[in-house]
Amino acid sequence: MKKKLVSLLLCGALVFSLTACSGGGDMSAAANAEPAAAAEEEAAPAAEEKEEAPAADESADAAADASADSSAAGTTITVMASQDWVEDAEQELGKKFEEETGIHVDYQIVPADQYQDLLLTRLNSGEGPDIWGAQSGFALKTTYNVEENAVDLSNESWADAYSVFSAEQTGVDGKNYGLTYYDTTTDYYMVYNKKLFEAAGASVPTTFAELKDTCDKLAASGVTPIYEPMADGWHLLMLWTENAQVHDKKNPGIIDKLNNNTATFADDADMKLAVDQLKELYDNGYFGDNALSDEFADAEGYLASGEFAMCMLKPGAIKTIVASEMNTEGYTEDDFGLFLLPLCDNQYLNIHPTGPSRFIYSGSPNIDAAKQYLAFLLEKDNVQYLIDEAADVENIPVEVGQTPEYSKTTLDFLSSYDDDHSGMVLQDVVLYYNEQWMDINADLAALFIGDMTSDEVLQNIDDRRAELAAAANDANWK
Amino acid sequence: MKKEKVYPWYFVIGSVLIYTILSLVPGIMGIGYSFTDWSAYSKEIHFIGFDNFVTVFSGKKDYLRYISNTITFTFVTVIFKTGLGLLFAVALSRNIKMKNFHRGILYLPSVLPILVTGLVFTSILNPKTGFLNNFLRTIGLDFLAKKWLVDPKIAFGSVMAVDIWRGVGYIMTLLIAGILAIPDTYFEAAAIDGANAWQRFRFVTIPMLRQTLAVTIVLNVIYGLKVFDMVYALTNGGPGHRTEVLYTAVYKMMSKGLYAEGTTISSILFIFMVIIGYFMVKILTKDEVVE
Repeated sequence: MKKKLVSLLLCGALVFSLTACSGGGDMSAAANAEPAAAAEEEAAPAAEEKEEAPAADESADAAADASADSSAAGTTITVMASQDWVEDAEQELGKKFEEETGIHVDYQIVPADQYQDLLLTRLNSGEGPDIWGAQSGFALKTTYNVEENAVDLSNESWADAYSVFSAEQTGVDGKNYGLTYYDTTTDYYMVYNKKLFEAAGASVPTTFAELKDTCDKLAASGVTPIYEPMADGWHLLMLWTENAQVHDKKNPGIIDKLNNNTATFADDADMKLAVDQLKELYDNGYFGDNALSDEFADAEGYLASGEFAMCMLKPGAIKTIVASEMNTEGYTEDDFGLFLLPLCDNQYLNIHPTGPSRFIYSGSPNIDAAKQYLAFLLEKDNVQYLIDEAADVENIPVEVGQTPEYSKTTLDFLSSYDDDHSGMVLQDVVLYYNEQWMDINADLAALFIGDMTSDEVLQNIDDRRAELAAAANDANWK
Repeated sequence: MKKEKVYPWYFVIGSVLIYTILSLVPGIMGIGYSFTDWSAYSKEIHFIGFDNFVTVFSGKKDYLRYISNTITFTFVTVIFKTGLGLLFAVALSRNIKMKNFHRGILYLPSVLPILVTGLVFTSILNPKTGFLNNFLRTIGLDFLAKKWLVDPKIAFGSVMAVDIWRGVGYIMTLLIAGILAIPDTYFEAAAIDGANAWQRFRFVTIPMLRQTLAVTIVLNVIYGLKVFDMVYALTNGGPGHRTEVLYTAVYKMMSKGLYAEGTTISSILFIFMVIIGYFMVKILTKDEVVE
């Protein structure tokens, strides 16, 4: 008996020790944005202290909808999303929603490198979650078959408050199927540490040659130039696509040609140059020694520590960097700035109105409860709560009377680019591209480790586009 | 003479029906679909002959590398799991102190869910913050600290090592059962004839274990060819595509809605497994002693 007890305890201890040291994954999704030109001047300073989710009486107007239908009380709705798509503040709002309606919200958050495969497997097998998250844009129709897998939300109570730009990206053929619940009013830009740049004698680059010079100076000063979290499998490609506006500016009409199947990625010298330059950055060691295993969740911490000088992040991340416990140098928000990564010498601002959005699964038995949840999130107090509490959210693409929190850095940066110096990101304008986001990231990693050439990476993009187009019966690929 | 009892044929109807509906029919349908263009993007399905098979074997989409990786994984893990499993089984079937404790410890990884094991090891093997590298650095063996799951030269080896660690206890358990079933009289007779420990192992244990070994090897070969969750959890096929195996590719194809291509690879694997399984059982049970 004693022996058995000891064995049992040892087994328990081992299982516990194994599970206890499991780390968190992470990631979020790709970019987003909408011209933040509309950035309200009255941007309020970020809330410093954690507030509680708005009390029931504060959100009475919103609760009206939510509590109207008490028949859903006691049910549980599932929200499935990639990591970083669900803010802690939203989960707090979820608790508040449960208090008001009796509907429990179960957040199923999946590591980003596994999310899309898992979601599509569930949707394609008819086992979708009540609310599923996906990047808005072209891929909704082809990859997610949104017309079959999502409920039409065109006539929801919040439809008029929802950004027209975002509605176009979550809609198909005039119907809106989703809600972009993410800060798409800005995109990802290079967030850099001014003090480290200054100490290294480096300046903000505007050409690729200058970028290399800047990175060399930073490296010489003992700082790793760029934090590039490749482990998550989604971030790397942004270095190119969020700075690919230059392709269309240099070669007008290339986007249409790609979509008409009269041009290919593999035949475009500029595309090849961009991919080659990415590899050059990696080969020169500008991403550090561990880029392949670095995770997005650690980006803000590493920038706060001063170990890395820059990373492609949303501007709202600056608040998180400053607030990080790894900020032992006492950096302030003024110590960080923004610039465009000059791949192919790009100096055109990236506009990206698509982003992680929510869709209600058409096969869900809890459609009404799911609709209630989305309506609840868009109540004025709840939108404001998200903006105040989620440090990296400066605004979301709805207008319900909330006060955005754009920083002066963000406003100054965005206002320095006019319409002639901005353009939509590649994944928002090129067909059958966003669908292969994770594949291209894997190919780029293969390029870095020497398993592929840049020509093969681009050829693979073309091949997958052709495959997707053929499956979608696209006349231009016949 | 006692007449051998034969149960009526209709006793098997239930199990045959369940097997047919849940296994045989979907399997045959899967093979059928691999000759079509079935996908999530179109409601129509057209017969396209061997096009999907041509795609797989043309080398255009890296499937040949995935096939090679899968076979390498199977070969290496089967050898190590069986070899180490046999070693532990022989050692722990003797009267040594705390043998049940050791058996329990070795068997424990096998009962952990593979995904959990994979996720735990992604943390342990993290080059910067992982337990293994930190431990090596602490004891002054910095040069042994590696980028276990992202260095293209060793990533696949790391995946296989974790899988061997997880599976060796299971093999050991099966082999211990096999060894304990061998009558002591064989060993006693061999000892009387002057056989040493190695000779008893070589000429008594191994031949008497042949059937158990055949079962364990076949099971492991099938497991190796179907490996998915360990690779998925540890590297998801990366870095790049360096550790991609066939079933991670199938999963990615299916989740993209390219069903026909996914079923094609599954069909190929199914045929592989049937052929390999058949020949392995045939070879490993050849000259079997019939009592």
